[in-house]
Amino acid sequence: MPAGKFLTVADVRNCGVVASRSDSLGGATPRPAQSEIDARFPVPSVTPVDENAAREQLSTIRILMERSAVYRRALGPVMSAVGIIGTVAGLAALGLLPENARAFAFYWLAVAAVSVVVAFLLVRRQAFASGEAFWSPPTRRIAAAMLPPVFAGAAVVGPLVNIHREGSMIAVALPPFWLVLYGCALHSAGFFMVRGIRLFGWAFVVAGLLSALTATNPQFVEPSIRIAHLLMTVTFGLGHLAYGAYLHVTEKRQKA
Amino acid sequence: MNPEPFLQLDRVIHEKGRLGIVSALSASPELSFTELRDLLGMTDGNLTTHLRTLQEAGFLAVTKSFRENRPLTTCSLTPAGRKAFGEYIDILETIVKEARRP
Repeated sequence: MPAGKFLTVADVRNCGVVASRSDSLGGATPRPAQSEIDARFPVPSVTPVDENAAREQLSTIRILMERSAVYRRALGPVMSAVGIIGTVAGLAALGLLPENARAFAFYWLAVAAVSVVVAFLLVRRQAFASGEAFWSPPTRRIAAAMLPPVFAGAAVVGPLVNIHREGSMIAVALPPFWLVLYGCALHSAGFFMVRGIRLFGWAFVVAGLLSALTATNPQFVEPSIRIAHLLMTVTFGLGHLAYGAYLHVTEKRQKA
Repeated sequence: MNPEPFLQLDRVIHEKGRLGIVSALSASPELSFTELRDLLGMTDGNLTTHLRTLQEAGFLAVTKSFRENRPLTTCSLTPAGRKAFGEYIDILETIVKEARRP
């Protein structure tokens, strides 16, 4: 670990620490009185801690916390990469794709698949660079947390676009639906990652609900596949890009 | 150096093995016995001893259940454990800050 890069209290507070379980779940004994603890672990048993030892201790704590929870190490690059893919794909779709719901739906499913693969490759590279296992328990937990909403979002596409192959209304209705589900997936994953991911998830849920109220309502905007592509570009593309930039800036500030 | 901060370090947490357990659990809602053992590279006996100490100090909740007909032991920090760990980090930070002071 480079000199000066040690854990701060803010790191600990933000490192995916979730609400504590209640003691009622069982297994915990009540906290003994401090005097009892002092008697069991007398003062001389504490090794004197100088600055270097304290720094080393903090560095060890940081490494262990990172190993037990997917920390923010790969998060910034993943968000930025997904944002770039989403934005480029959105801009390309506006000019290239035919105006039908089926092409819209499968195009964005393919973009999502590419994003997932790129995200996994980035996390894998980061894990190997740190000498850690890629498919670790925390990675498994995050994947398991995200799977149900992501699966639902993908599974619903086939039946829906088969019924309304040409309808632009279905294409416009899909982004809000995907946004809400993706927001739920991020929120679930946020219990094993930095807390910010949960807020990011909420942002997607709110964006999904707002777009459902506006983009599908002819009073506000004429539903068209172009509008659907725009929604995807702004939310999935620019949304991820903005969060990636935020992580990049805040990480730099913490290192400084 | 002012010796006071290090004397305030929690003696239960201030041990390499137990600090590892508390650090890992502070970043996860709960971890199973085998996950902790693999993560920290401890033997079963060593881990059990440390878990018992943390449990007796009121820092750890241990839940025993069954998954696919096999016993599963999961551990999580209690609110007291989280608080003690936060204070431990604060003291280490104080030590570093005091040493930097000209």
